[in-house]
Amino acid sequence: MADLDLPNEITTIVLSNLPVKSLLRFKCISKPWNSWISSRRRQGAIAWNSWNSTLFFRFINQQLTLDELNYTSSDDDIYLLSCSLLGSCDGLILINRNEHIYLWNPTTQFYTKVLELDRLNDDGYSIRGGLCFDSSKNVYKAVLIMRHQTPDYGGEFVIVTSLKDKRWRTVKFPYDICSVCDGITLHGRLHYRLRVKKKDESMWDSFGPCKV
Amino acid sequence: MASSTTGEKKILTLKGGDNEEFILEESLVLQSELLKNMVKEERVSSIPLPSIKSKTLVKIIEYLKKHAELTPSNKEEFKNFEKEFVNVVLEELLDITVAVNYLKINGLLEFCCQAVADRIKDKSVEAVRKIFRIESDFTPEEESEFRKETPEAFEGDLDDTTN
Repeated sequence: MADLDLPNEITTIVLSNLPVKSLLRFKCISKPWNSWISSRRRQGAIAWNSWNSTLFFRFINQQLTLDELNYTSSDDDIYLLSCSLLGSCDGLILINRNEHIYLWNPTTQFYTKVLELDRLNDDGYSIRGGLCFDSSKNVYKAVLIMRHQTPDYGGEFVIVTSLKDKRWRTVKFPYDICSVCDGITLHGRLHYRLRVKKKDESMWDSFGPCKV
Repeated sequence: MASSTTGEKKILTLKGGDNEEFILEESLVLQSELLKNMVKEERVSSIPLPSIKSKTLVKIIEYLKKHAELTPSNKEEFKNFEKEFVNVVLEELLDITVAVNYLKINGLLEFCCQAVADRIKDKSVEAVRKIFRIESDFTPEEESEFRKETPEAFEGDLDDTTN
């Protein structure tokens, strides 16, 4: 029988609309399908919120529109509700549990441990995170904005590392760390929402750890 | 060559794979990036589309007309039309999807691919291979490894039909 010769664009879009159970089954269709499915990612950042102990994810693509993410949890999963979600980029999510940091692809449900930081075990820290891709060095970088509730103990600082060399470096952060709310990665830069006390409203500003 | 005109509206002829001709207003085809470029840059009045079956072209023109009439007040009606539009045998749906991708009708491509995904999501591996005309390049041993790795993905009532 002749090959249907379906253009790759079509296969890619069809696969991105399939639930995880079907994807796991279709990995054995052929080698090209297996590699498509295994390397599959959605473009864009991911936003999440939890409701009644269920996590909801949404993709935010470059056109700033929202897409639902079909995520069905299975028993083998890392137990997401006991993790904190640090950031997302290119359809990948950075997750932290105890001192470990994992990179998770919710589309394929594959995850892998990428970093470790003892200070994450200290409950005294409130942490904002971020993940972005440094195209000049071809590496993913993780950012942690950390603030200890006892000021003398740990203080406030922002650290960055690439997932490749795994060496944390302190970087300057141009805003009051206490004012940082949530963040998102778009167009290759991290954006954080900041609480501006005077005007009683919030603002967004971007921060490029790739530049430091 | 300049497009022929009747009054204000420019008319364009599309020629399907079996040489059947379809005459329509030029404004309709502007929803297709491919045809838009041909019309705007090359100022053609007749476009041959040998790779698209006439049957498929009829469906696509029907969509272009409906989409052009879309207003906030008939949104519901359009949604129903879209549902019916993809309610065809799978082989035909794939023909339409391939043609839409070729013509670069962006919103419709996403919709068709979503429909294909909905139709194959509960199908067996064998059925999907038949539909996409794929021959497995895995050995039976490799294939059984996949089944052992994620047995839950192969459980339940899987659909063996190809339509």
